[in-house]
Amino acid sequence: MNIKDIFKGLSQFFLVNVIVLSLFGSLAYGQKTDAEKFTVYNPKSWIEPFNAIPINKRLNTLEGKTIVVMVDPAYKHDRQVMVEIRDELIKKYPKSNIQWIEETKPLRRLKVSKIDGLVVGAGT
Amino acid sequence: MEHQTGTVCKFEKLGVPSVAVYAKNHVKDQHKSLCIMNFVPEARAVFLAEGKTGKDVVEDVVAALTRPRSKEEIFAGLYEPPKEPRIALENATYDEVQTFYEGDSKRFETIDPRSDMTDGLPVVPPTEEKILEFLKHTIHDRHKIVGRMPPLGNTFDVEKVAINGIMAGCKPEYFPILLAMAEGLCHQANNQGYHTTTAFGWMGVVSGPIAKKVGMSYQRNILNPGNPANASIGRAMNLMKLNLGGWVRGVRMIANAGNPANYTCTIAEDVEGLKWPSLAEEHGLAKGENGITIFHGMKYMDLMYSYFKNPSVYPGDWGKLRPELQNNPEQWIVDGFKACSHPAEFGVLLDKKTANQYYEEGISKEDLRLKLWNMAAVTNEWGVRNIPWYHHGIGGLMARAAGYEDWKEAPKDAIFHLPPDPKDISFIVTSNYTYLFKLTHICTVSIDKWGTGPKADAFSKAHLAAQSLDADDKGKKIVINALADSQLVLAEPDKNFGQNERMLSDLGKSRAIIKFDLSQIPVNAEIKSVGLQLGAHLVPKYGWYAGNITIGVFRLKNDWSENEVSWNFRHKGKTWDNPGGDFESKPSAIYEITPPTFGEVAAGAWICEFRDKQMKADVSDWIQNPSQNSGWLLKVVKKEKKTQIADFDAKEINDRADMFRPRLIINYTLSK
Repeated sequence: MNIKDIFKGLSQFFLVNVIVLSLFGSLAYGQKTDAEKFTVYNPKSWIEPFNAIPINKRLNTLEGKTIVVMVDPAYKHDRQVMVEIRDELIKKYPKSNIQWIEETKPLRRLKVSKIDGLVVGAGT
Repeated sequence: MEHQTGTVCKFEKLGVPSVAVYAKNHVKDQHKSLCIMNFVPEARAVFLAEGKTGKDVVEDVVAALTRPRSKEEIFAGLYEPPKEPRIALENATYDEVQTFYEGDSKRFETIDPRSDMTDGLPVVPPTEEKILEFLKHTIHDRHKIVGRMPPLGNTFDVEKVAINGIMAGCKPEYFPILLAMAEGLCHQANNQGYHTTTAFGWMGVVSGPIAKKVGMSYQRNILNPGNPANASIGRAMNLMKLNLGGWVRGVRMIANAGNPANYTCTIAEDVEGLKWPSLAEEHGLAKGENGITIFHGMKYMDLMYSYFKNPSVYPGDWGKLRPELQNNPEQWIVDGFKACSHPAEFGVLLDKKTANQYYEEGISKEDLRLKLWNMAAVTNEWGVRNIPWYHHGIGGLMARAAGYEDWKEAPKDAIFHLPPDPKDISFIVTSNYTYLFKLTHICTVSIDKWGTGPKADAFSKAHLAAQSLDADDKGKKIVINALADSQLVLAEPDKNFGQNERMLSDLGKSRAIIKFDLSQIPVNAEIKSVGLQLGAHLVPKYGWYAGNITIGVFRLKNDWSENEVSWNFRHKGKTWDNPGGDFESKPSAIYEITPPTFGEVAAGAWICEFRDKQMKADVSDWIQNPSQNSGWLLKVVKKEKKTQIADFDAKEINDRADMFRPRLIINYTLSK
C-alpha cells in the first residue's frame, strides 16, 4: 500500500463518516427530512337556522323625536361615551326630547309607545 | 354586553329603531353572534375605535337611526347563519396547525391577547385517523347531535366532541367520558355560571369503575398536575366550553382574575370498596354505573378534618387542635361554611377511609348532610354581620329557605342555615384528605350510555324511537302551531292574558290553556302519536337551580276565546262553570319536568313534550268532532321544594325560535 492509497482510503473513510454522522445527527435532534402534514377539523359548534326578525323602518330625522339614551352605570367608560353622545344629540336636535336612563333593565321603566328611537351603551 | 345587546334586539322587536354603541372595537363578532342569539341578525351598532370619544361617533349614531334599511336588514324568513367549514386546514405542518387554532391573538386593540380555539397552549392536531380511533369507543354515529351548549346555545355532534378531546390530548378510551361531560355542560341554563366577574371555575367528577380503567387519579395529589387522564379530560371540558359553548375570554368569560381550574379540573371518585353510594348513584344512576357530575364554583380551602377524624392514628398532632374541634371534628367543616363569602352550596371532598368509617358508625350521607346543616345554623343577625354577600342575594336565599320573604322581613334572631338546604351539600369521596369547595351541583350524566355497552344500546334505541315520528313509512308527521293560548290567574280573576309571552307563571295560582286547529288532518286519519311540545323555564325558589315539577294536561270541556278568557270568564260576559276552567278531572297526560334532559336544552329554556294515550284519544275525538275541541288546560300537580315558578313560552313569545313556541306534533296514517 503506497502513500497515495492510504490518503485515498482515509478520505473515503472521512467522507462516509461525514455522511453517516450528518444523517445520524439530524435524526438524533429530531429533524425530519419531510415535515409531517396534517388535515385537521374545525372544533366549533354551529348555529341552527332560525326565522330572522327584520329591523324597523328608520326615522326620517331625529328632530322633534323622543330618543332614549341609556347606559348600564356599571360600565364607567361606556357611561362617559354615552354622556358625550347624549350632549351632542341635545345640541344637534334642540327640539327633540332626548331622555337619559341609567339602568340595567330599561324595560321596567320605558313605555315603548312613547319612544321613537333608542341608543344603548352596550357595556364592554 | 349581552344584556344591552339583547335590549337593542328586544326594542327592535317591539317596533323601536335602536342602535347599540360599543365603546371598544374588538367586539364586532360578538355583537353579531348576540344579535343572532336574539333572532335579529342585522341589529345596528356603532363601534368606537381606540382613542375616539362619544362626540366622534355621534354622526354614526344618527345614521344608524335614520339610514334606510338594506335588503339584508328587511329580510324576514329563514336565516341560515354562516357555517364554518368542517375541515379547518388541509395539508398543514404542525406549526401551521398551531398558528391556525391560536388565530391572530393580537388582533384586538383593547384587550390582552387571547387564542381563538385553544386555552393558549399547543393542541394535538385533530385528524381523521384520530377521530376514527375515538369513534371506536362509542356506538353512536359521529353526526348524532349531542346537544346545545350555553352560553351561546350552539349545536354540536359526536364528532365535535372528539375533535375537542383530541385537541386537549385525550386518549380514545376517554371518549365516553367526554361525551357525557359535553351533555352535562348543556344542562347549564343560559348565562348561569358564565357571566360573572367572580373567580369561579368548573369541575368534573367521574364516578364508577371507568375511572380506574382509564387511569384517572383518585387518591393522592388529585388536584395536582401529572395524571394524563385527569389533565386532558379536564382540559377538554374547557376547550368544549370555548369551542362548543362560545365561552370566550374577555367577551363571555369576564372574570376579574379568573380561576386556574378553568385550565383543567376533573377528578375521579374512589369507589372501589366504598360503602356509601357514589355521587353518580346518589343522583339516580344504577349501582356500579359510570357517571360524571358537573359542578361549578371551585373556590376551596383544605381542611385537615379527616386527618383528625380518628385521633389514635395521629396522636402527636391531635393536641394541636382547638379543643372544640377535638370533641367535634365536623365543626371544622362548618367553620369552613362560615368562612365562605357566598355560602349557598358546598362540595366536601372526603377520603374513602373516613367515608367508610361513617358508614360503620351507621351514618349515611344523608345523616351527615343533615348533621352539618344543623350545625351550620346561624341567626339572621349573624348573617348580616358576617356574610359579605348577605345583602346581595345570599341573605334572601337563606331567608326564603326558612320560610321568610326576605332577610329584611325576618327577626334578628330568626334561624337560617348557611347552605340553605341540606341537599346543597355534596360529598365527593376521593383523595386522602378533606377539602371544602364552594361547589354548585349542575348535573350528573351517565357515561355508559355514551359508550359501547348495553346502556349505550338502549339509549341509542330510545333516541331512534323518538325520531321515528319522522319516518315516512310509519305515517305522516304534521307540526301544528297553537291556535290560541293564555293563562288563568287566580290573583287577577277577571284579567285576560291572551297576548302574554309566557303562561303558567305562578304555581297553584295560575293555569295555562291552549288549543290547536286540527282541520288540516283528514277525518279518516288514524292517529299514531301525539306530542305537545312547550318551551319551559323553571325558576327556583332559591338558589340557581330548579328541581323537578310535575304538570298535568287536562282536557277542557268548554270553549273559550284567547282575548277574553280569564280565571272567571271563558268569553266576555260568559263565566266558566267552575272558576279556573272547566276541565276533565282525569288528566290526559302527566309529565315530570326534570330540567333539563338530553337534547332538549337550549339557551335559557328547554323543550318538554307531553305524550300519553289519552292525548291521542283527545285528538282523534276532536278530529271527528271539531266543535268539542276546546284544547287542554295545564296545571301543576306536584313540585319539588326548590321549584317556585314554571313558565312556558306562549305563541306570542317574540325572542325565541319557533321550536320554543307551543306546538303539537301528530303522526298519523290514512285508513282505507
